[in-house]
Amino acid sequence: MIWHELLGIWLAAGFTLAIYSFLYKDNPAYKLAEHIYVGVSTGYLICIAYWEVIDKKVIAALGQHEWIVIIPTLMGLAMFTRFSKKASWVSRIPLAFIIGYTAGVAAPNNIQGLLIEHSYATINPVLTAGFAPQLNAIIMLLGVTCGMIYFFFSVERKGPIKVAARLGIFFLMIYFGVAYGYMVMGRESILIGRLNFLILDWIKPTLAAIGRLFGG
Amino acid sequence: MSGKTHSGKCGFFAVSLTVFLCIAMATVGIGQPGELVLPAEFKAIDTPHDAGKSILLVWSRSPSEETRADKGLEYVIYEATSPEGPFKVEEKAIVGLEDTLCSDAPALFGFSPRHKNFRFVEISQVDEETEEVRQHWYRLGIRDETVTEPVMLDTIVTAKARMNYFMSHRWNTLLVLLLMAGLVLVCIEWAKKHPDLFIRKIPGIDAVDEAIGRATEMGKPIMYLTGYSDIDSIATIASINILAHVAKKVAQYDSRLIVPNKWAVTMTLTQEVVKQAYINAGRPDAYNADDIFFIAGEQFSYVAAVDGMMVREKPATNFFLGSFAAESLLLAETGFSIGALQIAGTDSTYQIPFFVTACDYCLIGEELYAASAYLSREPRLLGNLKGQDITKIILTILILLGSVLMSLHVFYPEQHWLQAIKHFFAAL
Amino acid sequence: MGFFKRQLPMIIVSVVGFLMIVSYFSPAPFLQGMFTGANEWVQIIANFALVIGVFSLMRAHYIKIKRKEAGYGYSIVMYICLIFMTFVGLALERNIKSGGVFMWMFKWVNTPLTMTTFSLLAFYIASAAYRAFRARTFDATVMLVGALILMIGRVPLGAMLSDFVHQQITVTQIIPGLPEMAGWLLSVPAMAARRAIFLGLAVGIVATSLRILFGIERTYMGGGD
Repeated sequence: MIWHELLGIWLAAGFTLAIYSFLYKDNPAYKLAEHIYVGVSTGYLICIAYWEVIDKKVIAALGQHEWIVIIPTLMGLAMFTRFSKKASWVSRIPLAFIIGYTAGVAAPNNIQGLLIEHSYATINPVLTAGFAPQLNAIIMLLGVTCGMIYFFFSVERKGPIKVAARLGIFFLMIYFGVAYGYMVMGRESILIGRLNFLILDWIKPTLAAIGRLFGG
Repeated sequence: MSGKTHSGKCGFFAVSLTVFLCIAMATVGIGQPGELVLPAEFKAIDTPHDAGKSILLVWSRSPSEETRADKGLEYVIYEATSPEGPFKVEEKAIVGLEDTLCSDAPALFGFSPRHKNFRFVEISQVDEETEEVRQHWYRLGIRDETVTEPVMLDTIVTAKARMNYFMSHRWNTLLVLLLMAGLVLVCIEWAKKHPDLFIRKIPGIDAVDEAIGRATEMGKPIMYLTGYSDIDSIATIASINILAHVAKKVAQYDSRLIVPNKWAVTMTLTQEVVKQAYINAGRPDAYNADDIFFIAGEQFSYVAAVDGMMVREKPATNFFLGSFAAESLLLAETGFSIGALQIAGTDSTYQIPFFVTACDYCLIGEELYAASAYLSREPRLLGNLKGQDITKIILTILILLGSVLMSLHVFYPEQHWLQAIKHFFAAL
Repeated sequence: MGFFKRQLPMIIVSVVGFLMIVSYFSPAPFLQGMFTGANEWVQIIANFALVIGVFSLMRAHYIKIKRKEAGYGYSIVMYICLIFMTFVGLALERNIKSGGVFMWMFKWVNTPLTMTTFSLLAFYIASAAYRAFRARTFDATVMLVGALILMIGRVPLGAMLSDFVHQQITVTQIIPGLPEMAGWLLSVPAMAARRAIFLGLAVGIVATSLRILFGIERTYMGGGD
């Protein structure tokens, strides 16, 4: 094994244990790992931002005389006016651009991707062949309708609306339970991945090396 | 008499021969199908809702598709630069029988049942070398493994690829958007005249006062997180709107508000909003820009740093409002461990269960978007909530009605209009 | 000046937003180009803004070091790591993804920290569940039953358990097995609730977007006036 890989494994193992130590309580090992993590990940972000965006999309574009890129560059630089008390309002312009973009993209995208698509999926024949599919179709329709009624804000919850909203909560609770159960297994597998690293990549080779050292 | 007999024999022979020939032909016919039958119709049209780059060639299905489907039947498109030819076969223009029915592409042709009888192919009109749009002429051929040369249709077709300025297949999205925009505006006007509009209780939001009061009493700070997403998510903007109201109350209660950010842009906006809230509350001097800061930019380093900060600062109240991913429970459980009162709200459906289990209050989905209006009590925003409700009522009715019509369609399959509502909601 | 501070940003929000909506409905190349262009512009602005973020981070830790607050040593460590990583990535190595010290740091420091922090969820998911499911309310019970059926139903144990019960007590054969129940819960009642959430969300998101575009909601720009 090459020395820098060995060093890497030991460092990674140390960080893994330091983070797990937080489960017991906050401690110097966790604090050290946390601060190293923040420093390294932010440094990484800065470099990615520079090479992937500033270098590729700004400097390269300027090199090819695509002068239009000056506008977002100026808007980006305008963000720095935050450092000045008097001129900080200038930063509102790029912020306004981003918010306008977000709202303008979100409105039609969510109509198409959420509203239309899920309405389409819900509209199905209720009376179909067979008792089970028919019952399922009715439950689905009931669940969607009552769930929607739960989200009514300006209608007072009394009489049938109250019953429907209550049923809506019932459906929501089933979903929350099922989603929770569904997520459990995926998350456990990540833990297993970490334990695998500790045991197979760190402890086992180390023990083997110690064995070789003392056993000849 | 004898002549009669002779003619009778001849007649019998003729009939026998005919029957024999028919049987023989039929027998042969089973092994070798008749000639390939050409489509009756062949036409070229401009591709709807594209930027003038391609055209569609459409033809009626050949009857041979039924009889020779197992013989590798396919259509061949011939292209020429002038109506006189020569027509050459292009690799891209060999059309099989899979997914080429016009009814397979409702985005291009709509939902009419007669489209089952037509096939189509989209042909680019952009010259690969010059990248200019040109006009070409086309002929249709049909072939299978039993013939060496395709059988050609005489018809020569062409169409000009035109620029379309509207994606006509997105008309349903446009209609819903216009309807909602109309409702927003109408309901705002309506709310101005009816300021005492009823809005049901949203427990998580009602608890905001209690949460801030608790922090003040305990002399501990309040932590507010706007989530995992940058400002490119509407949930983040919704969260920043709620923050404005929370910050104003914090300023009034003279508590301390900490807002660690994962994004520089959200940091800028949250600083702006909190500062303004303190000014609005008449306490500009109490605003501390250093309490609204950038803590880490990567998902889990953000979690590690916020969790660390939580156990050290021990906020009395945590707000988790916005879009959240895997970090939701990592933050909420740490918050629970330090005994903070926690109010969460997210549009991330997979994270809601985690917040429901680990937090004291959880705004579910749309409630996050309603919270700002609810807190502000401003008639214009409350009117907007009414507009949202009307949209949902219309939607519920359409879903119920659509399902009833679809049920009827099972019994009357020839009544295609019964599918109209379902087809309206097709995202094409 | 008030115009530039208040109205101009609002005008920009509305104009940019409506242009994005128009480009959603039109295949016209200049509108599509504008859509892609706007997306790149947003990225460029956000990446410039990162400087402000990093400045804020450095300031927070600088204050700690300057005041010699408890644990200020960790802030020094943060500074060293940040400067080292940035120096290596920007000055020493031009091609950061081709290996070298930058990628070594990423592989052996950043990645294990990321994976370990993520894996803490495995513990938290258990502790939160244990606590929540002890609550004796009807809603919590519904959630618990749903979660249990799904967890047991989707592992081999669930099928074995169901088979065993079905064999021992014949009457129970009319009740579907745990795997079937889990599948049904996922695809019918849970799916119904999920769709209701999605439909509500869609309405909420679109209404909020429209409020922003119409200039009705301005809180995010500081103050509702």
